Amino acid sequence: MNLRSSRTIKFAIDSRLENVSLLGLAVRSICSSLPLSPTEIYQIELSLAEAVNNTIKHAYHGQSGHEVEVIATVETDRLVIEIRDTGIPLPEQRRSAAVFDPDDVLSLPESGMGLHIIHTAMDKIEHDRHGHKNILRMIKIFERQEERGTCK
Amino acid sequence: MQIEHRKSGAVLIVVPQERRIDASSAKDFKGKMVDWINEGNQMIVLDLQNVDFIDSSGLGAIVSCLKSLGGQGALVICNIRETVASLFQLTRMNRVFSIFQSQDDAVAALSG
Repeated sequence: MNLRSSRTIKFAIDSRLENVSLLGLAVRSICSSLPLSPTEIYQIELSLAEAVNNTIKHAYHGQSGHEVEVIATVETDRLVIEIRDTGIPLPEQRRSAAVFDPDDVLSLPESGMGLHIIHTAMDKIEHDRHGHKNILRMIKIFERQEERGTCK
Repeated sequence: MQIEHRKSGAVLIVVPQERRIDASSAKDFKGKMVDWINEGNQMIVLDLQNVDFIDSSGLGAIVSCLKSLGGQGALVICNIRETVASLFQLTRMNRVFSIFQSQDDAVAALSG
C-alpha cells in the first residue's frame, strides 16, 4: 500500500437492516470521485450491502445492538472496503454458482446469491480475523488515476 | 413499502414508489405482491421506474412472486435502469424475466 496516497474513512452502523442503505449512500458518494462507471459503482454498493446483510443476519443472528464497522480506503488504483464485526465467525463459504434451469421456475433460487454477487462484482475478496473481530476485505481495482492533490 | 397498482385489462401494473427493494423491505414487497396474486392476478407488469437499488433479497422476493404464480401467467419487468439490470445479469436472472423498455410494451406483450 502506498500510504502517502491512500485516504481512509471509517463509519459504523448498528446491526439493523434499515441502516444498510446509509452505508450504501456513503460508499456511493466516495465512488463518485473515482474512475468507475455507474454500473461498477452500483455493484460495489451492492456487494457492500450483501456483505453487511450477511453479517447482520448470520454473524449477529438478526439482532440489533451490535456494531458493523466499514472502513473504506482509496488508493491510487483501487478501493478497499473492509467490513468488521464481532459476531460469530462465519466459515469462508464457497460461492454458489448461478446455475439453474431458467425454464424450471420452481427450482429458481430465492436466496444464497449474495456471495456469488460479491465474488463476481469485486476483484479480490479476503477473510481475516483479528482478536475477536471478523474482517471481510473487498477490493475493486480501477484504472490508475493521476495523483490528486486534495480529496473531493 | 408504497406500491401503486392498477389494472389494464387483465394485466396488473405494479409500480413500487420506493427507491429500494432490499433486505429491509423485501418481505413487505413480497407480501403485497402475493396478496394480489392470490386475488387472481396472473399477468403482472413490474414497473421499476422509481427503483434505483435492488439487492439479492429484493431479487429473491421478485423470484418468489414468480413462483407464486405456479407456472400460470407471467411476471415481466419494465423501465429498469441499466445499473439495476446489471444485478439480473450478475445472477443470470435476465434469462428468467422478460424485460421491456416501456410499460406500454410490457402490457402489450402480456395482452397479446
